[in-house]
Amino acid sequence: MFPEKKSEFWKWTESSWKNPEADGRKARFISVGVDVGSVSSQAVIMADGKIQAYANIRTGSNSPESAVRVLRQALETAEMPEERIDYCVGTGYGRVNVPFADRTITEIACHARGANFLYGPKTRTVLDVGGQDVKVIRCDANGKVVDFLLNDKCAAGTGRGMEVFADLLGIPITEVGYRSFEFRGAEPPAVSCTCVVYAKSEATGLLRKGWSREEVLAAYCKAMAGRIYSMLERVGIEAEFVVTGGMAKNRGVIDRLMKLVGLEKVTTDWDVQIAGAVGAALFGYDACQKGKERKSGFPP
Amino acid sequence: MISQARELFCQRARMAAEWKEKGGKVIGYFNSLTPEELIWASGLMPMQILHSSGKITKSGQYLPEFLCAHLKGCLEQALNGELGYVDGVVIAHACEALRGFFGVWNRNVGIRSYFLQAPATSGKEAENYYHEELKLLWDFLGELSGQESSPERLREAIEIYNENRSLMKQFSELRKLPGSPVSGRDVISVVKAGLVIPKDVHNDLLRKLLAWFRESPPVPDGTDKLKFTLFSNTLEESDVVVQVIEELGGRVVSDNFGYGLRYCWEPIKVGSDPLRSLAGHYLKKIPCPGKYPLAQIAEELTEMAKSSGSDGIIWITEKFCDPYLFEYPFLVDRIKAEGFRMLSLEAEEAGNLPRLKMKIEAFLESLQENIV
Amino acid sequence: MEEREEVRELRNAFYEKYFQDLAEAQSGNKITTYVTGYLPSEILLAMDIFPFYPEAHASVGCAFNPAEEVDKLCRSAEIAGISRDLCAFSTCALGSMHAYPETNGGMPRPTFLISSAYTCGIHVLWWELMQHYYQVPHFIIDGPVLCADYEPRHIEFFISQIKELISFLEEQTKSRLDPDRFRRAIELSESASWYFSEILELRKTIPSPISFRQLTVEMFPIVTFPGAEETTNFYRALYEEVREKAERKISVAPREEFRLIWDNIPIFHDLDLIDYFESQGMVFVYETFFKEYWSKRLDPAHPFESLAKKYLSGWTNRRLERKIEIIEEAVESHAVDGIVVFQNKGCRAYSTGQLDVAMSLQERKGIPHLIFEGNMADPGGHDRNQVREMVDMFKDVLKSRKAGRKNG
Repeated sequence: MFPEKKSEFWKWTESSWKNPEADGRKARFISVGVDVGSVSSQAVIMADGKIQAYANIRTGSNSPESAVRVLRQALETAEMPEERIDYCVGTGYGRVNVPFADRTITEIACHARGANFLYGPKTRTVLDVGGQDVKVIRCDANGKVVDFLLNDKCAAGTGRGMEVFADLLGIPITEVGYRSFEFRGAEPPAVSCTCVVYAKSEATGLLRKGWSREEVLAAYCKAMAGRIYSMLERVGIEAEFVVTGGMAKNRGVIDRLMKLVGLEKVTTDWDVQIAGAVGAALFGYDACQKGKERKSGFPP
Repeated sequence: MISQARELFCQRARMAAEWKEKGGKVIGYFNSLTPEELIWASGLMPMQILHSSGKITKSGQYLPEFLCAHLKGCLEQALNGELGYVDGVVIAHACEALRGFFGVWNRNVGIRSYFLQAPATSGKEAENYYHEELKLLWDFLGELSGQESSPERLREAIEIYNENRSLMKQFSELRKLPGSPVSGRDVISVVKAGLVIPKDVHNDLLRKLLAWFRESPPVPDGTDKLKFTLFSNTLEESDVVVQVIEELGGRVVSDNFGYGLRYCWEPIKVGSDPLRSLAGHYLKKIPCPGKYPLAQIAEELTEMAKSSGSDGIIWITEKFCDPYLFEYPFLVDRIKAEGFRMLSLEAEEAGNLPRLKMKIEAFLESLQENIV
Repeated sequence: MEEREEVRELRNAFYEKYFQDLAEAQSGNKITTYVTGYLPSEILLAMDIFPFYPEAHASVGCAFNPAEEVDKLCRSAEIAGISRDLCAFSTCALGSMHAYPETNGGMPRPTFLISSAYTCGIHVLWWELMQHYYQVPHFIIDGPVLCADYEPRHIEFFISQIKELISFLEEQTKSRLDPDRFRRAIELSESASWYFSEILELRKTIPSPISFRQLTVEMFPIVTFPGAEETTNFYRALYEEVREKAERKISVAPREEFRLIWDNIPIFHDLDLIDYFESQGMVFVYETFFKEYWSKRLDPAHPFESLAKKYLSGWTNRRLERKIEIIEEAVESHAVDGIVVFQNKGCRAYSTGQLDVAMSLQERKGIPHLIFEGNMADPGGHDRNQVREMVDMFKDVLKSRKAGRKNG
């Protein structure tokens, strides 16, 4: 029923990007934001508040090492020596483990600020579905947090849950989105529970009953969307509503969620997985403008 | 100085043992609706049973999973034989789970226990009824201590407890001063000690603390800390939360705490019949949801946050605590109307420190004009 | 056996009366109050006050709506800050008010509110929220919060509370409680209770002539309108019918193999579960929820005292040891093979102490139990298949016990 030979279907590709138009050499301040999440880590390099380059990698078992690795990769992409950094802000689950950060700021504040940058100042509600948690953040026109809600301790409905599920069904994570719409007839009902452990056994049962993998996927995505939506309801959704984090790339969940939300989907050309690191880099830029200086050096 | 309070708290079992060596008896109780004065007046030592954060294993056989950690933890301790020094227990009705709980406790724990009913209203009939109930409780306590009930001794007990209320209130106020050496966490430590040591010893401690404070007055350092009011019904977890807030540069300046300010809100006014005065006080003055109008609780708590100049409110509740969960929507309405921001936490979140820190830090950040 | 004509007619007559009163209440032409479970509605009916029952509203809503709709109500409650960990009747009812504010969730606007503290203290808190919502007077019938047998002082306190209630009602309605109508209501309520308790008694016969599910539905009149003519008439007819079924040995199941006790409030959003038990030959013959609330008797010669005794002896007021005794007696009198312990997350008051009852029954009577967790009125997280698998396993336990008894 499941693929015999295990390949790593959950794996998404690491990436880096350099802004062809920005020229960091002329910039007054170079600020850096590093977001070390439970599943992925991002580093964003900003030149006077504009994105110069970024990198996105998978967080390894050692957070400080991942922080160093992602920043190195971003610096290489930007072709910038590390001495050039004026200020560095660490954020994310592993923010206290960013060894070279000058200060840390929570991912709540950074995601709000980052979403404001990536999606524009009309953003009022940010949904961030990360590897291990779901955050709903309400913010003002400056990207300042007004209210927020975190999911309860269970990992159901998070990126990690989706990875486990993709792996179980043998569907590459990047294909989950569109393949969850590839079923015939009416959309299958949501699975009753998004809890990873139970969903696994439920999925097994459904496959045994003759459901296609796409149908099971659809049922799981639908359940996840429902679960995320009930969180949004509790905080209240004010337009514009935007999504950040890895799950933003998963149409299977997000399209279904948007249907429940009933609002126009706001889009951006940016990779929204970097929102937290963008926010951190922006706070870093604030610090530079206020004359704050670098405290930490790079680890050897 | 404060470490003394923490030490006293940690040494509670030993102190109880010492008390017993001198021939005394210890009465365990569950919540702030227990008229402790009556226990004291009977020559017994009242000691609050606090749930420890230890694992719940044995009590799971007797109690539903969906009961608060306090009740599960208390039964667990008893089943583990950790309450050997307790000679009797008074369980005052504070919530519906307690009724069923009393049956389970009484059936499975070999300690003489008494269920104290408390009316939900405070009219004349309710007060008369409660007065009679207290008489019966007094008899129960007298049986345990072998002492006849004496109104004089009750008067003395109320005096000691009133003094404690007044000292606690004075001490709690100290954390509000800029640069005060007394933190919100210090207040919690002192409150905790007060629940488990004899009240006269606690009064001595408080007097010493107040004298020490006069010697070492606050040194304002010019920085303006974010100030918080804490609404909570759980002690151990509040201790953790307040510590995190204060490590992150905030300060808890006020609380409603079941055992904190709630406990010392007002002194008991003693009339010709001290028992009747006691009944009136516990019926009318303990702002516990279910026993006190919710609208009034919300009003008083909001007022508390306002008068203490708080920047935000932290609300912590034990999961599955019905009275507090019902209080919540009321409070939220009232607080939002006053423009306060509030962070709601579940007690069990204190068990996941990184996540707790993140939430509190994000809340603090959102209250700051500029994060950087 | 077909349902008797008379039963159908009298049931219809009751609902006609009920819905007529409800319509009048909804259009504002009738003095209306919200009442909590288990308070002396006899007095209200005698004063022509419509006692609307949010708990019944919630449970009926759960029983007759799809799970998605009920889930929506619970979510609406959550949005309003009302936790789903609370009494599930309250989340459903308050949730419906928030989901459909224009109709108060289908509930008539009350003239005033009445709650009671002795059956469940949660009611007082829940009613305070509704008081906040409607801004109308709220009377609390205080009472001894018992987990013990009642004593004279408890009766006295309760009577003082009923008298205060009457003064409150007279003040609110600007009319007096008519002694004749009061007596009549007590008589009617007593006789409805008599029929109801006799119906329950008939379940001692093998096979049992009426199902748990039917009782869950048919309890509505006695729960909402004790003391109304229509209620009593209906139960008289129902009693006759059930008696005939008992005499003719008509079973509710294809084959009654095992006789069970259900301990706790019914699981309203999955009443099909009862059918499933029956389809497997397992029939409920005794439920603490019916027996220990709605079959309590009244004495028209001593109306106040007997009201006190009725309303102070509900299951949640009982001493744990007494609960164990009562269930042990039921095991004998009803030839019971097993007990289903529904650990109801929606009601802590009912659920705390249940495990002791089950353990004691196992130890002293060798009666096996099925313990399962769920929620009486919140379908969230309820896995129907999983529960049915547990039922199957329980049947195996019952079977092997029976086989063991035959052989040993």
